[in-house]
Amino acid sequence: MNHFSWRKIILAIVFWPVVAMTADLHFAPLPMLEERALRGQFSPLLEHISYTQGTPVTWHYYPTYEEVIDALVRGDVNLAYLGPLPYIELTEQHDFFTPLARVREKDGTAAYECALTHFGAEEVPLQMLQHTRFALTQPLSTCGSFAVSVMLSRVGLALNTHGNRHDFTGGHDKAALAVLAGDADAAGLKAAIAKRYASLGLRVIETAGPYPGFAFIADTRTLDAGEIQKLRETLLEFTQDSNTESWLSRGMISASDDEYEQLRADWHQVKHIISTLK
Amino acid sequence: MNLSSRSITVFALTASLLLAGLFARLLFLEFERESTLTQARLAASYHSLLAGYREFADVTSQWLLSDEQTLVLMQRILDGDNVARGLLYRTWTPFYRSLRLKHVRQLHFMDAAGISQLRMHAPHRSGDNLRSSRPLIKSVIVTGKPASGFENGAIFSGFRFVYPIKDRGRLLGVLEIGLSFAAIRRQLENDAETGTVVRFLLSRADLLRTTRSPDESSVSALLDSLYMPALGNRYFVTENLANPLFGTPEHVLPGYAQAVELRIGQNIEVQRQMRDDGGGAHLICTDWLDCFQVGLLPVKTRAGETVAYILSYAPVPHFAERAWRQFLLLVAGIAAITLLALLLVQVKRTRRHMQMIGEHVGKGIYVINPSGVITYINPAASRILGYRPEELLQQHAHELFHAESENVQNLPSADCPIRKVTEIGQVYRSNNEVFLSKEGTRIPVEVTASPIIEYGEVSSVVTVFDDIRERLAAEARMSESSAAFDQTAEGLMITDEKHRITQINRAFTEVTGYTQYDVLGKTPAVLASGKHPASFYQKIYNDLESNGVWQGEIFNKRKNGEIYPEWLSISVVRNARGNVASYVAVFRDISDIKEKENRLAYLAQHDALTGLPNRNLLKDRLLHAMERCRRQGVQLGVLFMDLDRFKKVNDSLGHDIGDEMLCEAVKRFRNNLRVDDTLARIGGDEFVVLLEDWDDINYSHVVVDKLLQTISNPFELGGHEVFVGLSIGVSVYPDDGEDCETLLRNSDTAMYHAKHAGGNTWRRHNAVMEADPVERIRLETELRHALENGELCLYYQPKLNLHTQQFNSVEALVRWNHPTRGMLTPGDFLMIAENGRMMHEIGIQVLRMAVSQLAEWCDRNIDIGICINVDGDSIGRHDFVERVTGALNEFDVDPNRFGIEITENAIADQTVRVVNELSRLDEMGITLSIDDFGTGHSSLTRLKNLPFRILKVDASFIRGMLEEHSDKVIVGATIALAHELHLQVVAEGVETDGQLAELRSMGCDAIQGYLFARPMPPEQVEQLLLD
Repeated sequence: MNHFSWRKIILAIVFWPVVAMTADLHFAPLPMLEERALRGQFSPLLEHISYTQGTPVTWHYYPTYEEVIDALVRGDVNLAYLGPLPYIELTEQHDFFTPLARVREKDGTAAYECALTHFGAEEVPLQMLQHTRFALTQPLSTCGSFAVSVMLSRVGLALNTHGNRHDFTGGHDKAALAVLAGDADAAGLKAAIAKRYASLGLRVIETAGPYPGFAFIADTRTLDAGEIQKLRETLLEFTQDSNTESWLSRGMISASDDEYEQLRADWHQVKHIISTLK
Repeated sequence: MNLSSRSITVFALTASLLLAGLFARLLFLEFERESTLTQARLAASYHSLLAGYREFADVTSQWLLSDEQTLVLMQRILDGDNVARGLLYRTWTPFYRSLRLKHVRQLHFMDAAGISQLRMHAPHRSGDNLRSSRPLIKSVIVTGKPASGFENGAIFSGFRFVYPIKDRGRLLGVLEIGLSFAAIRRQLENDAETGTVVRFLLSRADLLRTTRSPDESSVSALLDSLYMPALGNRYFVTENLANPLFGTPEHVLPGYAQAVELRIGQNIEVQRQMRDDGGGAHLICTDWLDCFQVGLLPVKTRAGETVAYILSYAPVPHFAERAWRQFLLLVAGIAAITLLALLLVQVKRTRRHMQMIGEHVGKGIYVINPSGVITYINPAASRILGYRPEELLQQHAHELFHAESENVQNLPSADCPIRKVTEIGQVYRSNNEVFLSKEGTRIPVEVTASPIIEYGEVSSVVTVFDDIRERLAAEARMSESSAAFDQTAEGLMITDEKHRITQINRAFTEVTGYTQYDVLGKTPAVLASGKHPASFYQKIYNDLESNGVWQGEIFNKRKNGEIYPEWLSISVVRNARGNVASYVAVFRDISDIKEKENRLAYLAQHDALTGLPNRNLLKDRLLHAMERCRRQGVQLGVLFMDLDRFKKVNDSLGHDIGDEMLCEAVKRFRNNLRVDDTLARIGGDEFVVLLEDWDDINYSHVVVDKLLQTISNPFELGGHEVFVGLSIGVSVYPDDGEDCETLLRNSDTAMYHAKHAGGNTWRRHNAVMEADPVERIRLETELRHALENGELCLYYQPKLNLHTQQFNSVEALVRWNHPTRGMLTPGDFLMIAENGRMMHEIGIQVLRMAVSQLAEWCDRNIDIGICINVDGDSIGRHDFVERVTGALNEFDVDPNRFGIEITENAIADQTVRVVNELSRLDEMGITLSIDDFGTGHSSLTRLKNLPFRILKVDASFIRGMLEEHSDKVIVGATIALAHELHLQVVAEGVETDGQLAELRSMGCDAIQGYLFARPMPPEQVEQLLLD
């Protein structure tokens, strides 16, 4: 046994009690809402996790997507709630994060499609989207610049070519209303949401997906396989009081990195375009 | 605390509580008024807002619905054109955005059936029928007229302004402009004071009823996300300001909001008002100093149904400061009440005390009104005047008992000085008033009549009077006592128990020079002369402490610094408890007496002619010389000198020449003696010289020779040359005697031997010259037998009273009727008796024989007293007085006819006890006499304070008084001093008419001597008295 092996054994013996203990959990969500609202939504779940894991869960809030990613990479946070695109972006650079569970959509699935929409009585071919004002949701939103770029790329178009321009409205409804109000010519948003505005003449030009929904991910550097499995089970079994209106009450399904392969392929296809949009 | 004071205290407490309640109520009312005003402002602001919005909504609806294109789009929507809906949304969006800036939330288009076609705030939601759930919409559809009012919506509750949309008279649809209540709330908050919170309370039940949905749980969840429980109960909810629909993330309620709302929810009045669909203003406190103005404004539907409330609350402005200010006012008020109560209690107590004083004071008190009518009388006044109180009350005081004023009788009531106090308002005092008792007794009184002035006018007169009959009598007695005190010739000084002088008399001032202004309050130390050590004064205090009295001589200092002697007697005066109350000192200046005494003492010890020490002083000098020689181990020579042939000179040339010769002889003696050598004259021509260091023969013998030589030289006297000689007898201490008598006797004997040898020579005493001791022993034995055999008897020598020329008493003198030697005098055997310690027995026999004789004379009515002589040893015995009284009692003799004579020397060294014993004899009536006065060293001032009545001048002075001037002076001074000390004087040894005449001229009281009677047996005394 060489010198290095001996050292590992000694360290393992010395730190065995520490290693044997459940690691502390540090959770951060994506900043979809202001902190108070977010904390209110996640508190029941985090308390449940703390109870079942036997360890406190420390709350972290970062005002931007980028800061959340950075915190994960630094190891300040080892449990996070991320959308699919941030997860792809994260795992592109670091392979020690793994998805635990995805939250169900309203239709009961844990995946969704994105739609490219416009207003009017007539259909508009995808190829016609030139010199067009696009209303997008958010920069890291799957149905935002990513999905729109994926759909435009199918006809050789892009958000930043052929006279196209875009604006981030901050949400799917806002993107739809921007088109209805005449502030934009087309909008990228969840297909399910686009459907709600059909009664106002919003039409779907093209769709992309389905893509995995939002998921809880864990850092394998600080959480061992057993802990990760226990966390996953905790999330899957979590049910919330039905009289509270929360997306978490819709339940979760187990997630794995394999489910992101299509998304990761599309990402590779358009990430050079998206990177220029940023 | 008496009942009244307790009542006042209860009143004060009650008043304080009422005041506290009043202040609290006033403060509360003030806050309530402010709350009401705030509430009114809130209501006004609320209604004003609504009116403004209504007007705005009216204008807006008219403007929107006047657009033809809008109506076309609406028609297309109604025809099912979704794009038209989108176009209408696009058309209205700019306008709707401007409405949002004015807090308008809903711009809602519905068709004529009440089905939603376009919600600008939620454009994706349409197709739901609101006619049934929205009364306003139904009203507009039914009536075709605009309607407005508060209404709950599916999500939002607020004020709705609903207008019919008509196209050429046909109801096309309905336009709703909705104002979210959050907008009104924010506006109200902006209009209100800083810190005011406005909440919108909604009935949860109404909300559930309005938000109809088949999925009740989802509706409930929706409501829970939008609203939150209000006022701590489940009946009302309020907007969740955390929800972006109602607030902003930055919208944070103040910290007190939760506590205030909880307290509001618990407030019964608020609950009642909400039950009754009412509103109002409230003051609600969460803590002592955290109070809030709360306004509750009901929000009613168009139908008048209360479906919500506007709740506003804000901290009471400056509540703590105002409450504190009010509290300070309250404290000040309570302090004032307390002070008032204390004053009342004090007044009550004072009045009570005054009443008690009035009832218990020894002086009479009555009060009259301006009419002179008695309105109050105290028990003492009733007692003094002899009336019952009811007999005095409401009576005219002056007419009833005022008999005399300032010596004026029957004074008219109008002139009564007491009553006139009511007119002049000044205090009237008089000690010259007379009141008349009920029984008619005239009572001199001292009166003080004082006006009681109320509100500037005399309301009554309080008269205090005192029966001064006893005082007047006491003053009279005091005046007499004071006169006696001042008139007494002896100085008097009284101190308190701490020795501070409290009183002196005039004699004190005359003696010491100090007036009462000089010494009152000071201690007698101001008189201290400095001649006595501290122990002297300490002994005085000790004696006073133990005996209660001290007397003696003391030197004090006058104010002018002169030191003088005084005879001082101090007595302790104790109070009833036995404690020292004061000291009374009586003293007499004895300067004159001391001076005479000193002179007397000088004369008693010196020869008046030559100034040489006489026999008395010689003995004293001899004693001291013996003591010195004994200490120094040397011999002392006693030279007894007698001039030879001096009598011949005296007889031939006269006494003057004889005196001149004696003086010259003394000079010659002096010239041959040392200064320290004592030269004394003990008789006419007898001198004694004391030569210390006699064993220094070179000196002593030379001196003797010089003395012989100097006298043998002729004297030039009166033109005559006179020759005399000198015979000297010498005895030497200690060889020839160790006491004065022996030495003098032996030197005398030796002198006779010298004279017998022819004179002008000297002889030393020797053993041959001494008497036969065998003979003395034989006599002592015989004397003892004589005592046993009753051989002693008494002779009596009468004393003649020169004032009455009668024999009043006799002196008993012992005789020994010796069987072989015949009748022997005391000089023959007393020395032997003293040496044989038989004096006491002899004294007893003398006492019994004398008393027995006196009893016999009394039985036989022979009126004469008997005195016996008692020596010092006998009177010092503890049973002496009992023995005397026993004898007197045994023979039943009147003590006044019995007397005791004690020699001056015998009394000199006696103790206080013996002196007290003698005082007892004196008190019994026994006459005590001082015998042989002048031979001792007694102080006349001391004798004055001893219980002696008679002073007997020694016979030696009487015998020489005609020849020796000094003796005459002594006798005269003694008589004068004795008289000054109130002593009678008896002269002893009177043998000649010349002596009698001289004594009579000196004022001597009685004489005793051979001139009238020798000592004689009792039978002869009886015969003498008969003659």
